[in-house]
Amino acid sequence: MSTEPDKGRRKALKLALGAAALAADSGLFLIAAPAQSRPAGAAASASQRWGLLIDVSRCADGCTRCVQACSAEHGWRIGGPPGQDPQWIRIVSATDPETGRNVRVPLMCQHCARPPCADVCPTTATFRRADGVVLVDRHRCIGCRYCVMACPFGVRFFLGDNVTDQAPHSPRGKGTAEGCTLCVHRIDEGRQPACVEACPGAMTFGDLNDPKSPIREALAGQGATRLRGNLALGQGVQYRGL
Amino acid sequence: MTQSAARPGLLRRYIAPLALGVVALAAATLVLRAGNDAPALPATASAEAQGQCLRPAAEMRRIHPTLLTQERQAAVREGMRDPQARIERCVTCHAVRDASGVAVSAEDPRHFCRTCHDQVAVRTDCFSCHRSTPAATLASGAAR
Repeated sequence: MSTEPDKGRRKALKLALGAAALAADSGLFLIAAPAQSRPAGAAASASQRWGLLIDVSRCADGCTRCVQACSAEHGWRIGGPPGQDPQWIRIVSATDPETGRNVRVPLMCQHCARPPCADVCPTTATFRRADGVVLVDRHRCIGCRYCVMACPFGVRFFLGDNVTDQAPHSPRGKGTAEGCTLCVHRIDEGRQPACVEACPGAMTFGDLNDPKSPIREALAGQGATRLRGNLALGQGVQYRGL
Repeated sequence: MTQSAARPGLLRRYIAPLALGVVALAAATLVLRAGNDAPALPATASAEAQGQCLRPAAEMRRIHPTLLTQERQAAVREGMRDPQARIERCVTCHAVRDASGVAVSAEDPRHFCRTCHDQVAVRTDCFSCHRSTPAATLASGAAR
C-alpha cells in the first residue's frame, strides 16, 4: 500500500483538532457533533457503542419517512411478493388490550449485545462488530436462514431473488441474509443513519459509551425500555413511551 | 536361441523405446515452456483515466484476489474502509462501454473482469451482491 492513507489520516486528525478548538471557542458543542467518527482507516473499537433511542410518543400517525429513507438508502423494495419482502425497518402498530392505547413502533435490527442471530450462525457470517453493530458478512453467508429463525424480533430477512443495480455502499444479493446495518457506511463517516436523518424528531442516535452524547443525556433524563427485556439481550435500540 | 542373443532383444524391445520416450518428453516440455514465456493475454479495455490503480497492472493481475480478500475483511468485519480500495472504484475505472456509451454489466462477456475470467474458467462471485457497473446516480447517502 502507498503512504496515501496515512497522509489522509494526518489531515483528518488536523482537521478534527482544528474543528474541536473552534467548537470549544464558540460554544458550538451544545448543538453540534451528534456522532463522532473514528479517524479514517481506524478499526471499529469497543470504546464506542452505537445506540438508537426511539420515542414512540413522538412517532406521528401516518408518517413513514424512516421506512422510505431506509428503502431509498439501501435499495430494498417496499411491499415485495410474500417471502421476498425485506423490511429492514417497519412500523408495527401495537394496542394495549386493557387501555386501548395504540402506539406505533418503528422496528428494525435491535443490535443486541448478545445477538441470538450471531449465536446460531454456522459460518460466523453474522457477527457483532466491536462497536456493537450487528452485521451480515455476505462473503461468508451460506443462506441457511438460521438467523432469520433465531431473531426474536423478526427483523432478519432472506433475499431469494437476483438483485441488480445495488447501491455501491449497500451490496446485497440472492441467497444471503440481510437486515438493518445501522447504516455502518454512514456512521463510519461520522454521519447519522438514514432513518434518523429523515425522522422529524422521534429518533436519537449516538454513542452509548459517551456520557456527553445526546442519546446518553436523553437516557439519563427519562430512561428507556428494551423490547423483550426478559431475554436480556442488551439491545442498542431502546424505546421510550411504550 | 542362446542367452547372448536374448540380451540385445531385451534392449531393443524395452530400454531403447523407453529412452526415446524420455528424450521426446523432455523436448516437448522445452518447447511448451518456451511457448508459455509469453502467454497471449486476452485484450482488456484500458481503464478510464480516474486516478491511479492500487498497483501496477502486472502486479494487479497476480494479486488482485488477495487484495480483494484482505480489503473486504478489513472493511466489513473491522470497519476499516480504504476509499482507494473499494470494489466500487475498480468497476468505475474499468467500466467497459457499449456502442451507446452504457457501461456493460458482468452479465456481458465484454465486462472487464469477464475477459480474463472467462478465458481461465474462473467464475467470480463478487457481482451477485456488488454492482458491476459504475453507479449512475449515487443515492443521497452515497456522497463520498
